Amino acid sequence: MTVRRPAKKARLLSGFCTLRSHPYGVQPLGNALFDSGGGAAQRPAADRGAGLGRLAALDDAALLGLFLAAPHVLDDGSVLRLQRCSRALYVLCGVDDVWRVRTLARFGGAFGAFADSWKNTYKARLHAERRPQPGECAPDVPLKVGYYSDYLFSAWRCSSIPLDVLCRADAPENIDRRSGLSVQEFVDEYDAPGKPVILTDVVTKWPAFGKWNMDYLEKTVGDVEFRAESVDLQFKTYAAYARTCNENGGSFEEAPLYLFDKYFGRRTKLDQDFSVPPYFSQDLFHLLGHNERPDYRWIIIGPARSGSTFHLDPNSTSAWNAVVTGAKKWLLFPPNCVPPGVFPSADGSEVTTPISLAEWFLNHYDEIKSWPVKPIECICRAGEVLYVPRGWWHCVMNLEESIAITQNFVNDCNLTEVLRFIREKPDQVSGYGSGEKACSLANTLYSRFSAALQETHPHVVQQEIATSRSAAKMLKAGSTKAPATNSISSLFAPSTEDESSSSASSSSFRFSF
Amino acid sequence: MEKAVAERSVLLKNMLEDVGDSDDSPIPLPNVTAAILKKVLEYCEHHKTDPLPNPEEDKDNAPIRRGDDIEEWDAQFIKVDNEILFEIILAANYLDIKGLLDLGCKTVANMIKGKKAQEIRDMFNIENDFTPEEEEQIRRENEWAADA
Repeated sequence: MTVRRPAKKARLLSGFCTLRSHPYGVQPLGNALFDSGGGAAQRPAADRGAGLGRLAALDDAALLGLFLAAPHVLDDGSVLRLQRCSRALYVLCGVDDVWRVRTLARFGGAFGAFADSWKNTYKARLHAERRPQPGECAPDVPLKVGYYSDYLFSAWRCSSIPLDVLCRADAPENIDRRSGLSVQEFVDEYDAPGKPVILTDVVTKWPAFGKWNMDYLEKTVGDVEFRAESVDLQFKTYAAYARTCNENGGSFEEAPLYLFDKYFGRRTKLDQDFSVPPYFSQDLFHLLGHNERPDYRWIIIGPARSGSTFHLDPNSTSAWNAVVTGAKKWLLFPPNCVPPGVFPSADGSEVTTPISLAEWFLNHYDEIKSWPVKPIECICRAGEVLYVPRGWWHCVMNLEESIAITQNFVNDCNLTEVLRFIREKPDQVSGYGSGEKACSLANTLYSRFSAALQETHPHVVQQEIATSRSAAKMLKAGSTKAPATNSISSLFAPSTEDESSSSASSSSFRFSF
Repeated sequence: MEKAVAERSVLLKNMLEDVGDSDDSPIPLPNVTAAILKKVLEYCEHHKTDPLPNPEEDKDNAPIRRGDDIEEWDAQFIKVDNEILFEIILAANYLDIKGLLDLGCKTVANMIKGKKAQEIRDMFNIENDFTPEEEEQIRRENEWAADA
């Protein structure tokens, strides 16, 4: 007799979904109170106290963050031996993110064929390196030993909750979609006031559209190195990893490795397959010369669930983001309106956010309901390009495997803001990498850029300083609200002056105890 | 205590900046006991003239860390019971005192390095709660790779 089981449906019940079960049997901490401690056939889950001994003084986050996922502190061999000590350590040492960190630390981008997990990839790669070969290298088979941990379960939830549920893929969109715009219309309606928009008739005309996909790229640039977070790796290596992510229905990892590369123009001919849309053709940092301008363009490739947490684009520049294949979920908050769950420091140099974008969606998305300023929310799909004005906080989640191109730019519409930023905050200038030369380029950006602008924009530098001084005087004279530098904020903010000044960026983050 | 000593803790440094010099009210530290705090302050006092660590140091790209050659005073300072050692690590983590955190973690790592699984169990009083089959499977999976 076969037992028919009801089809598994994901239901959002006050934040919870039915998830597939964890390979090691990790459950939330609270479940320990309800589990009967083993029925006839079932052993109780691993005991943390017994299984960690004196190490139990450290919580899971500390054990993982300070030791297991810290290859510069604890060597790989030690972790492999620790994993054999007890069931609790078996689970903790088996957290696949530990092995992603260790694989990339030890082998860089040369980790070879991607297996079904980072740990198995690590082992296969190590095995290939050993002489003489230590016998067979069989992949790990997870043992469902059971372990209670909110920290581990949260990560599991973030990786396995269906993406369309997590990101509210069917939420109503509130962005303009336009086609057939003249450049002047775009400037008047969107760029000058700083209002996001999706243009639908630009990318569809690119040679890349309909041509680019993972297979095509693997065939044409498979051996070329691309940057993915902390490593450079051949495209074919990345493609194999992305394939594993896809095969797991987009639930392989909480935050998949994301390919974000700025050198594709010099390493490949891919830039021949697209052109900068006419609305964005003015590019004033170009005046600095190719070698002394901040980074400005990237090819972005990632599986479902890869993405970027909330941030402001560098140097107060604006950006366009064109989806060639795939789909990206966007949330955009207007300038000076910090999103829930995001805590910039007083000067903006540091930003505290949840560990992953998935965690933000899980724990903070619902706060938008009661937030004074509502964001723009949309899904940018293949063939569309989204305009991100300067100063807009935004996050992006790939709902499908996506290939995109993005560029940042300075033009007449944001030049004042850019000058102000790089003049007042040279320590926050970015796009030059790190090191002594980078530091020097960042510190001199304002002076070099001002000098470069003399010919085409002789007065704008002085004008920026003058308006900045008068704004400072007004603040000093006791007005509670700085003059709005961006009228769009007032379109999205509530109507009373008191409320809108409370959403100004001057509030600093305070730790609470 | 001196401000320079307290500011070895980035947490306290930030709190002091927020509160201002004129305020004399006590700062509650609910996660640190008096005994451990004393030990932590001893470290901060000794290291108060050290250059403060660069917060932008990218630990992924860090070359061989200075902590690999532990200075003599530090080596003596950190010779404590395991229990105290872990409390110091947790306090240094909470208070954000990089040098002390590195010292504590490196000390624990050196205790583990090179030891076999049973030696590690004995050292930390860990119970082997595997079935023989489980233990054998994991041994097969990990042993060859652990001698890296």
